[in-house]
Amino acid sequence: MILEVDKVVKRFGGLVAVDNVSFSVSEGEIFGIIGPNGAGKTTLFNVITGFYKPDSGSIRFLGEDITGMKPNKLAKLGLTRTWQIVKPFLGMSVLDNLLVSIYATKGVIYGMSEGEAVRRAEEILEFAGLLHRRDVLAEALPHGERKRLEIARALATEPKLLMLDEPAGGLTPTEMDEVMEVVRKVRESGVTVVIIEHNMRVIMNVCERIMVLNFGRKIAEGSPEEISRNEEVIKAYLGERFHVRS
Amino acid sequence: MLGITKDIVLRIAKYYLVALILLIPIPLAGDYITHVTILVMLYAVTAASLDILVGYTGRLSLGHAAFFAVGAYTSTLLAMNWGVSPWVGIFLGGLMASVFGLILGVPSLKLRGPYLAISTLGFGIIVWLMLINLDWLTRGPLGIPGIPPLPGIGPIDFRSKVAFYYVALAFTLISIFLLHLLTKSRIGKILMSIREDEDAALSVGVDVPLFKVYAFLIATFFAGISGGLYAHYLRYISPEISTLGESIYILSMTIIGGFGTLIGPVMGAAVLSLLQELLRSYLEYRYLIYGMLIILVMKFFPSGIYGIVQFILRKVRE
Ligand SMILES: Nc1ncnc2c1ncn2[C@@H]1O[C@H](COP(=O)(O)OP(=O)(O)OP(=O)(O)O)[C@@H](O)[C@H]1O
Ligand SMILES: [Mg+2]
Repeated sequence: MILEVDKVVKRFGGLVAVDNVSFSVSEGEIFGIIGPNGAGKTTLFNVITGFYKPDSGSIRFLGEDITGMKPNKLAKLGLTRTWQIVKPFLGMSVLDNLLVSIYATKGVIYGMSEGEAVRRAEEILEFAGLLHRRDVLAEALPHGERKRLEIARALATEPKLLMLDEPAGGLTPTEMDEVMEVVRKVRESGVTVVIIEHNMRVIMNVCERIMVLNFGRKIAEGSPEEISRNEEVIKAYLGERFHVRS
Repeated sequence: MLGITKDIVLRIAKYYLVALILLIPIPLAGDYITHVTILVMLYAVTAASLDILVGYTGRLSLGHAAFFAVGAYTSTLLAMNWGVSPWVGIFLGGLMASVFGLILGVPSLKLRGPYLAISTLGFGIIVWLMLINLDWLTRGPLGIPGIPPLPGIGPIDFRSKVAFYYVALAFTLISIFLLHLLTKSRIGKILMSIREDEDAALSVGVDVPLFKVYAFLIATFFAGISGGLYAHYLRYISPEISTLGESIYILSMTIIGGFGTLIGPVMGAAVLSLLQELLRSYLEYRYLIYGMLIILVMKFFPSGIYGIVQFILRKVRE
């Protein structure tokens, strides 16, 4: 198991945003997380990637206990994430956005030679279909490309486990396909992926297993077919809220 | 090293060579111009060093004059009480400013926006109060007169403005060149990522607190050295050099010049110093004027004088 989440709880005051959630992800799979707005998906990501400390529970990555470890340390271990609301380094070039990842994980003083770092960044840009945007400022990119930049920048840390928070959120169907194509390629390159997604079409197509959260609690886990037939899921999620977003 | 390639060094070095050639003849214009230029250069380094914090790392500081003052007092006291050569003392003053930078930098790591501004402002006031109240060491508000000049080398006497000018020129060009390389280096890009988005930087592996501390150490070091040179040039210092007004003066240079460009603050230092010379009779209104200028620049020309110059150059080329 590359990731084992055990009985994680995260509270904000009286609100239990993540309520005793356990799941594990095996190496090489694409694991999906779905749930209505405010179900606690992003909060769960924040806890796993070290942005929040859980109130209780533990997280293991490649067998090592990483509960409460800092995000930058986790990135160096091979666990990184993207943001639902993208956070590109707006005032920097697309290439520099990726170079930051490479310097930060491989070393600033030693690490890769400059030529090697640039080559590596270009490879990833090509992979994400952004090479033609290499030298423009990130602020000049349209939303769809920013979403791919977000993934490319995370890939530049050379993750073993990549956690994507709604990578297709807010995109047109064409842009969505482009992003999901990148996600599929990421998986083929051997990186394990955990993905939060609202769009059912997208997540049913790409994931082997799916976990459903509602009000912070895990209400189901299984293959896409199992999930789409699960009574509780249909009641909590597919029935009403699904239509709002898709 | 640090991602600084030979190409980058050569490309940047050209500009500094041109600046050197342009600035060498300045003393021919007489003592007054030489004097003003020396002060502009010392402020230019200080404003450029502040830009590493404000413009590159996105950390507002309202207390930068305190580090300038720490450098000035350290070198002065070392020279007057322990006979340390100012050549060494100025460098130690830079280090001492960095120590103070650590004292401010580490506790304020988690602060952002107005909270950070207030803590740096408070720190500046604490340094000012220390300089005023530790009279056994600093002679309090009276200040310290009779500071020894830079020791001469052979026949060169640094009490002469012209001789000192060339020391200041060398110091200024080297310091700004080094800071310029820093901004083009891997460290520079990491600092910029922190400015753009701390959380995103963390998520791709940037040790954000560590690099914020680096930024503080570097920025305060150069402010401290400038302060040391200032002390041995004017040969009189007082707590006046560490006031909030002085910090705002330096910040005005950085912002009005164009923060996040490094060279903008240098232009800011020149323009504001000239303005100050022109407005001599309205000195009591100067902070009012700087404050208004900051607001106007932020509102209408956020890229500052640097941006205006670039704009004009582009128009001329077309
Ligand atoms: N920093 C915070 N402080 C207080 N409450 C928070 C915080 N972050 C999230 N919450 C609350 O926790 C709950 C879960 O939010 P979260 O963002 O994890 O949901 P989500 O499943 O990602 O929703 P969405 O689909 O809208 O992205 C919500 O009620 C939210 O308001
Ligand atoms: Mg969310």
